[in-house]
Amino acid sequence: MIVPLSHVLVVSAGLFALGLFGALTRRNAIGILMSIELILNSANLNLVAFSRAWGAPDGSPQVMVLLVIGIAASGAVAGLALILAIFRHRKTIAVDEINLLKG
Amino acid sequence: MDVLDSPLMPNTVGPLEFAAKAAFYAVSAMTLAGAWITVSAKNLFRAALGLAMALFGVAVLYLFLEAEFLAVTQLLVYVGAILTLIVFGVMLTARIADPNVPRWNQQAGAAWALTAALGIGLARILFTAPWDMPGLSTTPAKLSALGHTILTSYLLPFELLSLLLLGALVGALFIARRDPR
Amino acid sequence: MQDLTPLALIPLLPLLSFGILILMGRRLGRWAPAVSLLALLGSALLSLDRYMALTLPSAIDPQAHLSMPASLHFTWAWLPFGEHSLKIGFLADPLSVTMCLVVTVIGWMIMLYSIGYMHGDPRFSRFFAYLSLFFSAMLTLVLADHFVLLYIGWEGVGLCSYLLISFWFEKPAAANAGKKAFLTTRVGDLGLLAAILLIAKLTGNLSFADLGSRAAALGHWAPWVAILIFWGAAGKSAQFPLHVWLPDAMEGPTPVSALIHAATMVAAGVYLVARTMPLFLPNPQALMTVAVIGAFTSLFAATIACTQTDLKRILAYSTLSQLGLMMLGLGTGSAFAGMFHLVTHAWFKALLFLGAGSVIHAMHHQEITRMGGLWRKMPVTATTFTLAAVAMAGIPPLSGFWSKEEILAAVHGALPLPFLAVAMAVSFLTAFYISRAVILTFFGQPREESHVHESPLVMTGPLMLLAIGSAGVGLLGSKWTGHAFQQFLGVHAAGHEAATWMQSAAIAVAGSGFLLALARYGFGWPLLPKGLRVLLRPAYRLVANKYFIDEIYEALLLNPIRRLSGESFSFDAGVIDGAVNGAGVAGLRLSRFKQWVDETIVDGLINNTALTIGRGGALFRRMQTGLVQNYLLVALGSVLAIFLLMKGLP
Repeated sequence: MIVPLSHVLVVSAGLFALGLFGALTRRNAIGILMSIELILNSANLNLVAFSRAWGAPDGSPQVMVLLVIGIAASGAVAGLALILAIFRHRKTIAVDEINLLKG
Repeated sequence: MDVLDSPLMPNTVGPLEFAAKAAFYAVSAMTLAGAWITVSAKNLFRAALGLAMALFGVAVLYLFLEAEFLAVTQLLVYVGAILTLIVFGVMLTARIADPNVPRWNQQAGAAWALTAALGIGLARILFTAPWDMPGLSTTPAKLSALGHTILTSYLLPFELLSLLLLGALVGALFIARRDPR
Repeated sequence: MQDLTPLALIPLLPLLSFGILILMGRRLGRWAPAVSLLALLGSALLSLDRYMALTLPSAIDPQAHLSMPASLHFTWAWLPFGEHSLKIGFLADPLSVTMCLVVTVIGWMIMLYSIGYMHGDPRFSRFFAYLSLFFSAMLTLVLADHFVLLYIGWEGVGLCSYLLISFWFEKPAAANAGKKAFLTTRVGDLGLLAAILLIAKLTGNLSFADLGSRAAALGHWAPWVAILIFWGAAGKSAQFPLHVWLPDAMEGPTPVSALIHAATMVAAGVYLVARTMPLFLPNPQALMTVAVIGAFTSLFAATIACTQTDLKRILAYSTLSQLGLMMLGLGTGSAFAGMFHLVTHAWFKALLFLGAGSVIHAMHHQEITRMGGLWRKMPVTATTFTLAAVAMAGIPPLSGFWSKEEILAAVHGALPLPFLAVAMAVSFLTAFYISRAVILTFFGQPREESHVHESPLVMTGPLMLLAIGSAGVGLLGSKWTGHAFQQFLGVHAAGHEAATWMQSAAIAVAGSGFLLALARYGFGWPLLPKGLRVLLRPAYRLVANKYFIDEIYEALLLNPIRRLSGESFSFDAGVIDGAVNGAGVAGLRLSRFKQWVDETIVDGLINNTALTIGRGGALFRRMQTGLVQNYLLVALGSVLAIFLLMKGLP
């Protein structure tokens, strides 16, 4: 490794924090979706960093990352479909106007 | 600060290593900048471009971590597919360039404080924790080993994933089709 | 040959077709019949294969055939309970294979015909799904090797009969007829069920194999068991007094009438009696019951058939009459006579019904008094229908003659003379009413203007095929083919060779019936002087109204039940409700007092609690913004707070 492990982890933590911030504050559903992609990427980066630093000759952490990418893809597909449906229904995807959960 | 000694990181820092390190930090900065654009841009389309930047940066970080296959996959799947999808979603739905729409909701301040606390806390933990794990092999995984692992021990999750993708595809078609009524 | 699969496939193929059609029949559209036709063709071929397997050893070594019938018999445990286990088993002996062939071959042609008849029906594919289910149940019934499986098939065909009679359930008459058929046959099924339970209780074994050797274990219950079985058979085969459902069942589509209510399902009762013949043989009382009911139904229905003007109803009563003849044949103790007539009857009656269906399809009504002269316009239908009529009337060498002669010979050999007289009378009446129907429908001058034309090939094709069968299938039991059918069923034909005088008498009787009908309806001669006709009018009205059996049931059974229900209701309303109301008033007074206690003391407590909670809720309600991001923020804050509490500041 050309840099210490902790530096990579800090980058990952930064991605995570930013992603979480986005997920918490974005008014737009697609913005939230993008923020969640950032969070997933930070987790992936963590996995790869650890596998590189601590060694995993069979590459199983990388397999995990591949699986996460795939799941993220399906999540994005389903999420965007939902967003489209909601948009068509309510003419907005601003999530603070979508409060069906409010009893 | 760093206690990890690997053959790839000799104690003497030559010009090439310095350049590599500099590139790593530059890419990291670019990634975080992309992420910041993603969460802060008023224009959603710009946010998508910021996401592209961040994802691309992560791909390059994978290269630095000698996970070439993942880097390629990241580019193909994330930048190539998911991002395209998101851009389409943005164009189909959002009033993307409407300056009257605030980018954040009212809880931005609280969220800002909490996430900053989280980030700083994590960074402090990361910089102080002992990451040294002596006696572990630190050779990067070979691509052939990766392929072997996917198709042996992880075959079932792998196939399940394809099933999940299929389900997501069908479900998305079902949800997003025009209401026949 | 120990492989069960081909045998089990015979009923399973139609079941599979039912599954396919019920699930995706609409998608298949007009290709739906292909599925059921293919499945049934498979069953037919497998039945044929069984038939070959049965005839092969006898061809090589007759002795071996007699000592050890080449029947195939497989069982496997289905529901083990306790020491016993309920088994599923299929038995392919000559009897069941004969039935299989009749059901599948005739059924296939009727199904083919249905494509034309049901064309354009909104529930086209549903019809074929039901037909497939019917075949599955019928073949299970036929191939079953023990009573329980037979009973499953038995109820299955009953269900299909109900579904198919009321197939056009938009018509109230059809819906009611379906209900009537279902309920009436249920009355019969009760008898069969009771018989099965008795056999299970007394012998502990429900298998058909070695039924005769276990008959002794029934002891003095034996006649009752046999009569209960016949009771069940009478319900299914529409014997008096459970016959009332069959004429009404004609409300269903005509192919259904042909298939279920003429050729196959109603024959299940005859098959059941033939199958359990070992239980009847040691009990002369039971055999006599069968013979008496059979003879009575036969004569009774034949007289009604002479007075009806609805083409399908004539055929329905004729079916009743012929089924009665089969029962009469079985009552002689010879399974063969009844079974042989079953086979030939299946052919010509299916043909008669399909021919009638063809006429109805063209005319859009069923009244023979409004038809006439149709043979010019529908030559194929007229020819085949007439052929079937001649076969049923019993004119040699067509099939009906041989089987009817067999019954006459058996009756003459085993029963007192009055039975023979009844059988002869039925022969005469049969020839009369069927000639009447043919003459009025196809010959003479058209009595109404109509623009009819011949049915399409998909309908006339099966008619022609069935005509060949109606003409030829009787020969299998004639002396010209060496009594092949008798040998196949393992019956010694020697003792039952009909005397020549009887054959001549049978032909003469049938011929006179035909001539009488020709004179009356062909040439319009009044047969009786006017005075006598006036005198006989009440009798005619009695017969034309089917001896008022339906009305008698209405008065004797249904009205009392209705009245009983009414009385029960008024009892309920007056006495029970009164008691309930009294209790209610007393309860009310008590409640008033309790109400006061509740409102002031208990409610006071409760209300205060509720108020507190309500205020708290109002407070917390603000937190429930319904915005996911809010919740997420709270979650993040909580996690951080917990982290801080656990670890202190990092």
